Amino acid sequence: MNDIELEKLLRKNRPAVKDDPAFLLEVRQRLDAVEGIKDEVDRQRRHGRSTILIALFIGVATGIIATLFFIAFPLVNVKSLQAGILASLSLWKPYLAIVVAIAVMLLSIHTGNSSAIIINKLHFLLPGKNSEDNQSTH
Amino acid sequence: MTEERFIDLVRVEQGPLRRFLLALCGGDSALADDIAQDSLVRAYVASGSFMGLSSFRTWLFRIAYNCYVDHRRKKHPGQAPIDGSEALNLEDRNTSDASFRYQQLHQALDRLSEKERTAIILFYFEDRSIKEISSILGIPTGTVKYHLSIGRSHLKEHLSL
Repeated sequence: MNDIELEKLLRKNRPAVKDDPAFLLEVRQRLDAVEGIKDEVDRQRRHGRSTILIALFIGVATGIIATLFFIAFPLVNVKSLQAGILASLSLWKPYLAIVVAIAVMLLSIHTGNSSAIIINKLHFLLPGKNSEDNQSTH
Repeated sequence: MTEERFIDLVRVEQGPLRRFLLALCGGDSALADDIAQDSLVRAYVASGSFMGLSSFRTWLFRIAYNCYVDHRRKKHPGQAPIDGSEALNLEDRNTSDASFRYQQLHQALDRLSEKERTAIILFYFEDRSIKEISSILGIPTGTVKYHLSIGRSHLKEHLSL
């Protein structure tokens, strides 16, 4: 067999692919899932940014209030004020573990919820979906 | 690139892309379509970085080829050849002689190395130029010519057995 015969054989036997509307439909679904993930990531990023800004604002506001307080009441003894705050906190000491546990639970629920949204959208993008579906139908 | 614009481009390119992957996957159409879907998602995610230095088709084929290589590495870490009998699914042929020749050709293609097979498929099935193949495979044009030449020799050997 020479090169020309081989070329003829190859060109004559190129595989044919039929147009499949389901293919484009699935592409669209996957791209929608990608867009969904992008939106969710953007939403979480915005949420994180606003949380940082709020924390920053609260910190600055508390600092300003404290500064104004000490300007207004210069005779207040800082050490005794701190001691008073610590004493009131020590009253709540037995309940501290419960407060921390509740905070951890809330944080876990929030994180789990955010992860579930992304994982549900990622499901569309997992490779091997078609071949697994086909194998299960055969 | 917007989703609609991307879908419009994919509508034009889906045939050649699926045919290329179908030939690479030895006729396993479900696997070829899976890799095609995966490639298109990757291409869409990376579409912001598409500079238009090559044609959209060349860029898409390069991503598809990389997806195929990734898939092969995951499934066949030792580069085991795909079973030639998978080529039976490629297409129904009218005559038994033509069908036999068709199966024989695709089984012979499956026995080539990955680079040789890809170069042959792109050159003869997809009518891509040497330069485009070089861009898709990420190798110099001289190496593409080498793979084509060696691939042709191996193919002739396998077909004459």
